[in-house]
Amino acid sequence: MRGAIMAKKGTGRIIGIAGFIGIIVLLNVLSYVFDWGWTFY
Amino acid sequence: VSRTGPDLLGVPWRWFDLGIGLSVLSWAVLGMLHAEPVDRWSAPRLTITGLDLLVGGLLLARAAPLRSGSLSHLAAALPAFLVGGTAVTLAPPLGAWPWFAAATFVAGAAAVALSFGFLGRNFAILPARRALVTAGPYRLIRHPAYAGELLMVLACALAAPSWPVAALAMAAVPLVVLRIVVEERVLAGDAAHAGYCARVPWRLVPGLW
Repeated sequence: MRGAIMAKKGTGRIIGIAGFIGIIVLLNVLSYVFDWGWTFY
Repeated sequence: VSRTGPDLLGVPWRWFDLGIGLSVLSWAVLGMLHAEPVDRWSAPRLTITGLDLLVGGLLLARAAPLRSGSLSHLAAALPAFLVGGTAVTLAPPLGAWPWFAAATFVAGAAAVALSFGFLGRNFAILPARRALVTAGPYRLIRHPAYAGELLMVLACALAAPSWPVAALAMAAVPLVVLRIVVEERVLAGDAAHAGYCARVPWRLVPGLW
C-alpha cells in the first residue's frame, strides 16, 4: 500500500516536471515564432 | 509576504519564475542578435528589449503569490497574452515603421514600464493575489499596464494598416476586458481591493470603463 502511494506521488511529480518543462519550451517556441517581439505581459 | 508560495502542477512556484524569468531575459538578447541590422537599433526593437529586461528582472525578483488563480482563470487570461506578439509579427519590419507608429509604441511601453515599476515585486502576469499596489498610475485607472499594452497593439496597426492587424487590434480590446474581469474575480473578497475599486472606479479608460 505504502509502495503504491509512493509510486503515485512519483508519477505526479514526473507529470509536474514534464508540465513545467513543456510550459517553458512552449513559451520560448512562441517567442521565436513572434520573432522575439513579445510585448504583452 | 511568504517566500514559499503555492505549488503549480506540484512543482515549486519559484521554478516557474526562474524558468520564465531567464527565458524573457534571453529574449532581450536574442531579439537584438537576430534582428536585421536596419531593425536592430529602431525605437520599437529597443523598446521591446527594454521591456523584456524589465519583465525578466521582475520575474526573478518578485514575491510569492498569496493566492494563485485556478486553471480556468489562467486559460481566460491566455488569449490576451498572445495578442502583443502576434501584432508585432503582423506589422512591418520594426525599422520601417513611420514615426507616429513608433512614437505610439514607445508611449504605450512607457506606460507599461511605469506601471510594472510601481508593481515592483508584486508584478504578476497571470491572475494571482499579491500585495495591493494603488500608487502612481494605479491612482488613475486600475489596469494602466493593459492600457499601455493596448496602445502598443494599436501602434502595430498604425505601422501599416491591414485587415489582419486591424482585426487583431479590435479583438485585443474584448480579450483584455476578459482578462481584467477574470483578474478582478481572483481579487474579489479582498477588503483592501474593494476599497481600492471604490476609490478608483475606472478599470481601463477614465470616464468610460
